[in-house]
Amino acid sequence: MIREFLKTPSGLAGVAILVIFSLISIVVVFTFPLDYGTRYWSNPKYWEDYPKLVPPAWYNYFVPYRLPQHFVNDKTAPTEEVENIKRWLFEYEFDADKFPTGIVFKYVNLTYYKDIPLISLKVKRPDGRELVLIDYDEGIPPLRPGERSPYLRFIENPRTIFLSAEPQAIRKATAFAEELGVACTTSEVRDAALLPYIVFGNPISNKCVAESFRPLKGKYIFEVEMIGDSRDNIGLVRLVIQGAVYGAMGTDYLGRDLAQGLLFGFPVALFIGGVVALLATLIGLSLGILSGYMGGKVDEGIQRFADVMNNLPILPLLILFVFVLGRSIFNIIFVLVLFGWASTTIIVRSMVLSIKTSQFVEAAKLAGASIWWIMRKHILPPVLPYAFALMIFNVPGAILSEASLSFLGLGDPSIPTWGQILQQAFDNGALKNFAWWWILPPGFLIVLTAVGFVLVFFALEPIVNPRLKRQ
Amino acid sequence: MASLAKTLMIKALTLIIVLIGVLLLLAFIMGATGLSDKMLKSILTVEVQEYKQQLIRQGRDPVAVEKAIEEYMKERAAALGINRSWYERLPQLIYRLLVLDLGTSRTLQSSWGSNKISDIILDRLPNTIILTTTGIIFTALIGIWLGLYIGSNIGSRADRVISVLSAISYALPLWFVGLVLILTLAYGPRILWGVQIFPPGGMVSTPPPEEPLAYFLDVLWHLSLPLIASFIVFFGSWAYGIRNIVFSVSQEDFVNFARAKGLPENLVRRRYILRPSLPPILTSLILSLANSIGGYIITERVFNWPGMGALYYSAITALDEPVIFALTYVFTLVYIVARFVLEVLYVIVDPRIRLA
Repeated sequence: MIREFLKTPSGLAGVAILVIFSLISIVVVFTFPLDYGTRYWSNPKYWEDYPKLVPPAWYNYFVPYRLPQHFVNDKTAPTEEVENIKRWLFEYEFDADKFPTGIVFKYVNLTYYKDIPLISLKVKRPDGRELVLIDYDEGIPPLRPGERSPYLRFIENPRTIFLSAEPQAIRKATAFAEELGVACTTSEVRDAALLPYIVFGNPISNKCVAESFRPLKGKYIFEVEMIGDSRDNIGLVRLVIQGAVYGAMGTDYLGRDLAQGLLFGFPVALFIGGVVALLATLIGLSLGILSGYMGGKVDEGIQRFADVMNNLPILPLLILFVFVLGRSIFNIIFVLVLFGWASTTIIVRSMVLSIKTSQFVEAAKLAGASIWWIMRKHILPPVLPYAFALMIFNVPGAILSEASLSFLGLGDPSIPTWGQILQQAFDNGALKNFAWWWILPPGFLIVLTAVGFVLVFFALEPIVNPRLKRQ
Repeated sequence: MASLAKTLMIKALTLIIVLIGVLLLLAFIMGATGLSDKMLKSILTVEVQEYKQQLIRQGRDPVAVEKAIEEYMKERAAALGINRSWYERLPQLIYRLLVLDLGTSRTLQSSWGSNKISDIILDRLPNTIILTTTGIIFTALIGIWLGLYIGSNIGSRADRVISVLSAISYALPLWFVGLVLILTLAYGPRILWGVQIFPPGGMVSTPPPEEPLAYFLDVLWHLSLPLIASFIVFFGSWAYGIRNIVFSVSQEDFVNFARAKGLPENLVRRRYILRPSLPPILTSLILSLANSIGGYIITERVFNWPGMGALYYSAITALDEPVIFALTYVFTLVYIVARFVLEVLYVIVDPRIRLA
């Protein structure tokens, strides 16, 4: 039977898809924390160092210009130390044709002994010019009364300076632009986020717009300097230059790495689809056997009910139920099972009707076998393979329904699913921004999973359904 | 003839029982989960708050205000039915729905400002019919025509292509195809080359064209993306479904007999295959029309189409219980009516039922 199955190309393709997807799911289950959704995915703070709404890194191969890569560098120890001056140097090789979207300067665990240290940030450009962006960090909390040296600052929450929004850096960048020959006001630089253009560019005209700057390629050295007591120190200094491409799948509007969200969607989709299909098929199978074998009023009752459930406008009811019961994954599974068993019942019943009249059932009846025994020993075994095929067929329906509910904002908010990624994309202007990397991959994954199961069913059906086999 | 009337009567009765059953189920989940009470209470709080503001603005003295509010609250609570439990309140609601009194909405309005639910539905229904009915009929007609052709050429290349398409269409959600089309045919060209090939959503441009012909063409222009989407998604499954029906009929003995008699293939197809294939084809056509009234919720949202599905979605997000009830009722009613119409149609197109 397996050999027969593997002979069909569509079955082979379907199995290949399902095997690959299952392997990915297993890897994800073992490498991602179970509370990934609440701890990381829905926690905007975790993603603040990532570039917002940028395409994947491989996008660079398809466009005529190079987009800057995302740059994150951490330094845990000073690069240079001269008496009471400590320096952290960051080298950034800028070779893109477009500008980075922002510069972020961060540090954690500042320890000082006497006065608040002087922390400054300057950049040496490839053309030899120097630009001081910050000469004194005003954001360090001063001594509290009764506090004893050494003074610890920014232990839990890092000190984060978004240079494009920092008044001091904007003022200094505006002055630097003036020096380069571009007449800007500080509000223009702030509102149009021109700071990266001024830092990484050379002017080609004197108008204060992004188009006036051409990228200046080469090696940039960012220098963080701390002047204070010689014992003063910083635990970790981080420089982020926000690029215009990131990772394997790009990022969304919060800077979330879409590759991670999409990966987490694999086990979730397979779990929902699998559990729903299993339960719905079990219910459908037992009701179908009962209905077909018992006949009479039981049959009529079950079949009318199944007929109605099978034809009712299902989506409004699904939406209503999930809305009323609450947006949790178990409610979604419950509702999908509740509305998902009917078609199996109808099909199984029709198979049971033809088995019922066969001679071995008649013989068993004459021999005095009980109804349950006959159903278990004679009706169930020939129906079972086909029920298994029907279960495979029910999986994609459940996956698609979950995606639809999630797309309407009724998904479980603690777990990222492909449908939810699509919903957030739709609600946050992915279409308007032409963020194709945010729309296409989750949808294609939903479709591909469904196609995998449908193909397996198509290859399985003629093998397990004796009626189709004869033809 | 009498027995026929009796059969139809029984069918009608079962369908009405189904309708009441769905409503009871709805009433039960809304009531038993406390959702209905919660919604009414929040409405009462808002009303009382508004009334209090109004009294204070009139400058009444505090004691009188307290008393008036007390009375107003009792009166409104009685009108809303909060003092009664849900199982007393909801049968009344079901009864009202059954006699087609849909009630009034709490938050939603029709385009002319009426908050009667029947008005809102009349406002939205034509839009949904324009969208889904044209889509289904257009797709089904081409699908049926192709299905008839490949049904008598089983195993041909066209047949194999169609069965693959049908498998894919089962896995392709209509709304995702819609998103892709909006991305590639509406926003894509506009952002990349500055040309607007198709509009990204809505039913007419803003402001709508004055002239009737221009208005019609504008709606057609807005209709094209949803139509293309539903064609892509449903075409394959229509053709495949029809193919299966035609194939199973053409295996029947009477068809073989007709062929054996030497009748021309055209005549066999028209008289012996098409006629018995008609009831199942009609079934799928009418049921998908009936389902489409409520089933395009996500698609209407994606295309920002002001139809019944979009109305249902806004009723749910606005917690508008009467509208949710009324719409679910209308969706179910349409299905029930469609089923009954089918029963009558079977009698007309299938002589075996008429003579039985």
